[in-house]
Amino acid sequence: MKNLTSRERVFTAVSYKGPDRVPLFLTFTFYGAKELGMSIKKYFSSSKNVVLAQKKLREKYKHDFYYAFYYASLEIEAFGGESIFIDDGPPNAGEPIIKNLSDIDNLNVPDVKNSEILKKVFETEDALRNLDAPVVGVIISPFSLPIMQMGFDKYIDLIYFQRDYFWKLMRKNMEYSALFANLQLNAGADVIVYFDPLLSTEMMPKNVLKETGFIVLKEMLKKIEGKVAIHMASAKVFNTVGELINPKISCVSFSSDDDIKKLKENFKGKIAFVGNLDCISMRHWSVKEAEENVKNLIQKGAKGGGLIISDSHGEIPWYVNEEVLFSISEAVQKYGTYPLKW
Amino acid sequence: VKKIWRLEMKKISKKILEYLLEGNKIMVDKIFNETFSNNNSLLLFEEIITEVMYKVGDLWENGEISLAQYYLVGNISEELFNKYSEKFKFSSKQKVHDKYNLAIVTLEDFHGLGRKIVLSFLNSAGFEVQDFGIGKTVEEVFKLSINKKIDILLVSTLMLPAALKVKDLGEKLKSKNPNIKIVVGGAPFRIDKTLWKEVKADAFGETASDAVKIVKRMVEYEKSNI
Repeated sequence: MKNLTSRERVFTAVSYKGPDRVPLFLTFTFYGAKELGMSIKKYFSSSKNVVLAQKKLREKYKHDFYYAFYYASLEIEAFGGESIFIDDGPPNAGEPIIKNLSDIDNLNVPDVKNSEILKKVFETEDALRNLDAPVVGVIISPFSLPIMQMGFDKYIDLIYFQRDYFWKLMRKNMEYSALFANLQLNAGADVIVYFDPLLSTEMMPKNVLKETGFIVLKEMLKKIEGKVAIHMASAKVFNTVGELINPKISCVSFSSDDDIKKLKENFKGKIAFVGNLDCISMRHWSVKEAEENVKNLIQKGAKGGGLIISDSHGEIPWYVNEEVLFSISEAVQKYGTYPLKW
Repeated sequence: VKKIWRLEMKKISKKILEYLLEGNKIMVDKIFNETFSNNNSLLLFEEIITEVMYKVGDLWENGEISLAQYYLVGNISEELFNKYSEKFKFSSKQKVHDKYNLAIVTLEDFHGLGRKIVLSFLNSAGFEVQDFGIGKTVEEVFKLSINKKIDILLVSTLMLPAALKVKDLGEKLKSKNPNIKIVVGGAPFRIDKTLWKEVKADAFGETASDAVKIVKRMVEYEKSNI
């Protein structure tokens, strides 16, 4: 088979047609700062840094996408909150912006179009658009956003005990998130990753999801004017995937505790899978272990397409060393060429 | 009589757990109200709650319940423990485990759900625990632990960088107080089962119920060495 571009490779794989090889997504976010030798705060202060690092890292590790994701709490900044930066990991959302129910009444939906904070994301997508690799934009789902807006404990209380205010908040978040997603699609994103760890039944029981998060997702799918991928961070997805089968959803993440064989047996041809290298233990993998882990994953899950190899969290940790990343990339080239020989 | 009583308690625990998992505070409160009617109820209360907590720990470990349910069980149990302690005038001095200084903290991260669940479980099991809060640096936790003469420090983390910092924290603390015990928990430790040893913690709790078991074990061990 002729060599495909990364763009062709990814779209062929997610539609369960055999591409030339299994696509690889190395999810570099703050890792770009390491590559450019600057602090994480400085790195994320300008889209130029992110664009440069995305290009450099893709060339270096020969993987198959551009990642326009900055960090989750960027969206909280857009709502008027703050991010707390550390030297070696993702920035964290600061003090919750919703402390009581009246804060939900008074919450203003950010002016997404003119937001100086979100502008960096659009600039990144614009600079990377229409190249040979797909550009992946990200939104934190309206359903998971309140974990940062109000703190997880208060949010669980809201879902269980204040359903009217839960919906009040969802309506505002959905208005904001749909706009953020669509402006990213306009700016150059090929697909929107809908980050929603709360959709995992590890996080929330299914009966509650059916009354809340799944409804929010359905509403959002009507509003988002493009392809969507669902990401549940490191959470298990098996019990949720059945609810995600929709023509607009092309793929879903899977965790290092999910079984790709079982997932594909149940959902082959209906949705593709992205995962599931364990990025926590990756930090102390040897080069050989990295190769073996990739090989095993290909062996278990790559047959017939429908698999993109990535980590399970959506963010490569600072302490993963370059040799391991090179080894992952080389193993994908070595073992992931279609037709698979084993 | 003891056997019948045990069976009865098991039935009550089962019902309480069912309602707790639904987040049905009103029904749990109703059962508590019917069951605990005099001031000898503390031990009975502890026994039932401990059984519920262990059961819920198993359910969580086996992937049968969600994090939200786990939180609700801890939160409602704690609220009702406080309510009935007040009602029967259990002062904190009467709590059975108050000889040791315990503290809990979320290191660096600003998401405090894990800490909150563990705190609720420990409080419900009758432990007095000082809450050092969220987003604390190694230096801040070190100073607080030394000033408050902490014997057992529970450290909750969400992200890997914070988990790795437990090593620095432990070294600093043990240089001042070699007997201090450090118990860790949180996502990075659950995903990488060897991480707690790498950061030289004394113990790792996979669940909040584990945290209760570990702390109980540590307290018992200390007692046997007096």
